[in-house]
Amino acid sequence: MDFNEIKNIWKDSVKEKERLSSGQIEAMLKIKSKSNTALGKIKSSFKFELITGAGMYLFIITGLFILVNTPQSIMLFVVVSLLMGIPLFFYYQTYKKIRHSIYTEGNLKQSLRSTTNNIEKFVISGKNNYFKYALIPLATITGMFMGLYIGTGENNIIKIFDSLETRSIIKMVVLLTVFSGIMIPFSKYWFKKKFKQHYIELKKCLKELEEETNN
Amino acid sequence: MNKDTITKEFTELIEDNQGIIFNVSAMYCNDLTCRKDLVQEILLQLWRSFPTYDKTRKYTTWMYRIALNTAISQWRKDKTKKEVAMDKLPVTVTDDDIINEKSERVRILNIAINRLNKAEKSIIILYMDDYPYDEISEITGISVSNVGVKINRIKKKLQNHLKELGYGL
Repeated sequence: MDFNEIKNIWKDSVKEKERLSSGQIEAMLKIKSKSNTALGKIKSSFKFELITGAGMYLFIITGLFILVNTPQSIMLFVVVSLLMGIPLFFYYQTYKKIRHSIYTEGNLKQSLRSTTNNIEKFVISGKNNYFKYALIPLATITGMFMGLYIGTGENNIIKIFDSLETRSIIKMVVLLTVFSGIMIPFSKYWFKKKFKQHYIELKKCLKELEEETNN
Repeated sequence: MNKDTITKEFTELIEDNQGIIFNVSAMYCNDLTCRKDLVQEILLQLWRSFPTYDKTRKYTTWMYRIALNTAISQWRKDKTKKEVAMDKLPVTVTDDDIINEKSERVRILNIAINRLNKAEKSIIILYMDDYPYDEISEITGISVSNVGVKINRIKKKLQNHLKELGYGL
């Protein structure tokens, strides 16, 4: 079969079949639809993690502010704020880098390579970032003590702790262990589902293009 | 330049070269929903990248580069299922919707194209659109000397797929 014939069939099938007017183009630009590219999905998932993390961070800090009333409380407050705030800040910096990635860096191959490199940095740091997993039990503990504070009106964490029966403490520890035990693998699964899959997909595309060159 | 002028300039360029967007969406998508989504996505990516467009370079080359990159990066959950389903359709099947949308010849050609990988699609679409080798090289990043070799391979592959599908033009 002559390839020109194939070419003509293709051309006929796409030739001026659909046309957008300038009004339609402008309207389409105004629609803020969710991006379906791998990078777009990663950006939105990352944004979700960042907002959730920041929410937990603020909750923990607020809890500490209300519940810790020792002479060293300010020092503790500063240390904890920095310990949790710094990783969160770096998380945000990575997000900013991904957010600003656009498809204009050279040709198709270069652009895909740059995108995958950016994502790779994030995927690796995200995979090994146990800080975000630590936020979950910390936020849970804060939630428990905040609940007790609301229930009892006592705002000193040590006094709250002293007033608890051993049985209640054991119950809390068991509950926390079970909850964290469920949440950590769930978070890891979520991470894998939302980020790693997309990364693998892009890497596959890049490999396809590189194979084209090396064949 | 104010926003309205930029929007007007962008819209005019898209209007004149919109065939590229539709070509790419037709090459990478089997169904209308996917095509519509991809057209929208490409348009948005072009708009976002427009401020960095170097006006000394050819607009269509820049446009193809972004459109292909977007199509390649397009993420669809059910992609594999849909591709397999379409590929397994017997050639003799007469689905009213499909017949209304395109001729049998186009449908078979689409099945054959669908069997190509994403990189092969990005090369063949440029060849089908009569782009010279140096521009194909500029868009994809494959060396000029390799472009010809690749195109010949893809052409043979496509012809073989068509043969397998029992398509005797």
